Amino acid sequence: MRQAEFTERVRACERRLYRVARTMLPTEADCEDAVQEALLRAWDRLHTLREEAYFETWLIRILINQCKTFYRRRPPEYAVPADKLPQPSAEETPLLDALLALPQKPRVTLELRYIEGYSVKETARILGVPEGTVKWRLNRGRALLKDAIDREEARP
Amino acid sequence: MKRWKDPFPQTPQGFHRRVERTLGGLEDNHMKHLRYRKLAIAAVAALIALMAATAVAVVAGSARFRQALTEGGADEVAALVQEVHRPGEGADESAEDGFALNIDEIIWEDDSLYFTYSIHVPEDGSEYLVALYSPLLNGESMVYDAKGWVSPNFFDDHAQSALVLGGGESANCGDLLTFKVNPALRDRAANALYLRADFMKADYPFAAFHDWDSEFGLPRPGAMPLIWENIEQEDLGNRTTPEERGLRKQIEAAAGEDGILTVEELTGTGCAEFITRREVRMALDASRQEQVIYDGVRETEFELNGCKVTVESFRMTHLGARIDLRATAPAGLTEEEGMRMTSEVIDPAPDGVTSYHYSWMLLREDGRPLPAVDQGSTGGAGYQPLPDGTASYHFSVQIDGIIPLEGLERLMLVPRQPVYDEISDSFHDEYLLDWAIMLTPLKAPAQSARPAATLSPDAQAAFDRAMKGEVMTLLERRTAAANWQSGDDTVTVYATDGGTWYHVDIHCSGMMNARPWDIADAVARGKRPCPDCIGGKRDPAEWEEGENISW
Repeated sequence: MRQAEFTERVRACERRLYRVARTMLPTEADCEDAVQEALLRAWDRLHTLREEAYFETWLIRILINQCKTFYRRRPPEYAVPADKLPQPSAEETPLLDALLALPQKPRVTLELRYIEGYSVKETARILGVPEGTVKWRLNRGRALLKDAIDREEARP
Repeated sequence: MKRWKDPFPQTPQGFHRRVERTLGGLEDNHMKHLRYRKLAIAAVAALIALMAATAVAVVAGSARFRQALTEGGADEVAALVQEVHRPGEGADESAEDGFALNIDEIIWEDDSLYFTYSIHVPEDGSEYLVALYSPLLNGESMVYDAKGWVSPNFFDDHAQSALVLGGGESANCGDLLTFKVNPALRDRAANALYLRADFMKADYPFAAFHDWDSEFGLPRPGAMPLIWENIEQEDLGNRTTPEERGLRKQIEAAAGEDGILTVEELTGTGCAEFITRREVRMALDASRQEQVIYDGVRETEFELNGCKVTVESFRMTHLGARIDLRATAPAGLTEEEGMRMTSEVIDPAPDGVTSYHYSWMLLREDGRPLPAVDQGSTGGAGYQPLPDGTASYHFSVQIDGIIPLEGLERLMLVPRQPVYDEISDSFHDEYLLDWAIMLTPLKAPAQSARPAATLSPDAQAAFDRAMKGEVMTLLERRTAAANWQSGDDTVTVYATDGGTWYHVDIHCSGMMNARPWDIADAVARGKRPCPDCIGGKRDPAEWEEGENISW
């Protein structure tokens, strides 16, 4: 795959890359850094992609790994200063708020499955976990999400 | 399945600009890294032009492998190889109780250390949990390199830190592990490699353990990550007893927010019983290297589906293999028929867009794969019609990895084709055994070993401690780095290629993509000791908590 095709494929899934990164990292700046690292790594390791049909899922997996690495490099008490947090925008919805408040594992799994639309099998492949694990996380995530939305709606 | 409406805001312009900037800065160096996969029929004319060039689009795996193989000459295969366990001769560490941990083969080349290990549990029908700890080199955790993705923790991504063996599963397992290490250590008189596994009996239907999802890495000293992955919640009622569900709650409570358990914590819940520990200690030194090289094959010509195939070159070492072949198709065939009969050709998938091709694979005689980091076939200079009406096609197969060569008498070269399955909407590989070619590698004359250096008294003492599995603390490494003088024994530090500082803490200051360095190289490259983790800005008391220690 040459650069031109790589570029086109990345552009075609840019929106997905943003959503995945934003699901995992708290600031836009982090998302930008992570996606840059991921693209560079993907380009460098392109020869490890055995089937070009899987380019997008492969790239997303690389991005998720970068986000995880990024997250791990922070001190355990990783907290973004309040003035650095993205301010809620008119575009953000209660669903998004609730989703981003979930623990990382079910959060990412829900995002891949219900927002990106990947199948359980594809989600398992991206995350590198068994399909049963994906199903469990989806179950748990939906329950947590429902609780969070119910609480939000119950507020006066 | 109904997808949710996209709740995310618009993609920020900053994100878009960063993507574009990154794409714009990519080097179009497909000749450097691209595994040549597709041979477009329409591009044959261009390929014929390429035939005149000697270069072949071969790039798979590490540049160091290729250098070892292509430079030629046994002296240039500068790999330290130790056959510590010869396949077929039984396990060295196996005890009568049936629990065993072995290191099977070690290869150390420059800053890459590879070894294969195997684990065995009794085949008595019981299910066992095996906690495999991060291996130590001279008392320090190594940087795990999963297929070239350098990671600071052993238990990252593809590495399983705890295994389930026995019961309904196999009682044996093994794997190839690759690590990045300080390259200067390789020529020391002795380096201590230490590996430990704890074996437990499980009273709960654990499915699998892996650290992949750990959100916090290894936060506690001695924390051996056992992330418990349970079965589907809705299945719990059918597949577990009330007692097991109770145990599950105990495990969740013991694991806490980070989901990480030590062996002691897990056995403390009553869900598992500690049985035994196995340790392997290996002294690696420069004097023990064995360079085994296969240069050429006995069979040099074959007939393949009406084509004459000639083996132009074959070379195999512990670090990989490469075979170059040329196929000559008989006169009267079309170009496509000729390529189809011999090697790579494009077949469109049912969707008319995706295309796939044959890959030639190098396997053991019995069809089992050779352990390898990466294996791929590459296209050569293309299909070339010849004046006599025949046509020639060059192709090659290259594998990069760690290959136990003892007892390897014959190899099978066989094409593999991905076959599309409409029902599962996926591909599976089909080996075309009718086209398999059997090869007998020819061993090159053995090379002499390198003389060993000697250890200083301090280094000897450190070696002795490391062989017992003692971990070198951050504080000790900081002291060693801070006091290091030119000419002293090497110290391992961590740095990025472009960074200003060298560190003893690979996580220092949120550093990314650091790798091990020899301190002398870091100093020679103008890097300076980090004021935080070496200079002493950070409170040593913090380090007593064992930050960044994986044991």
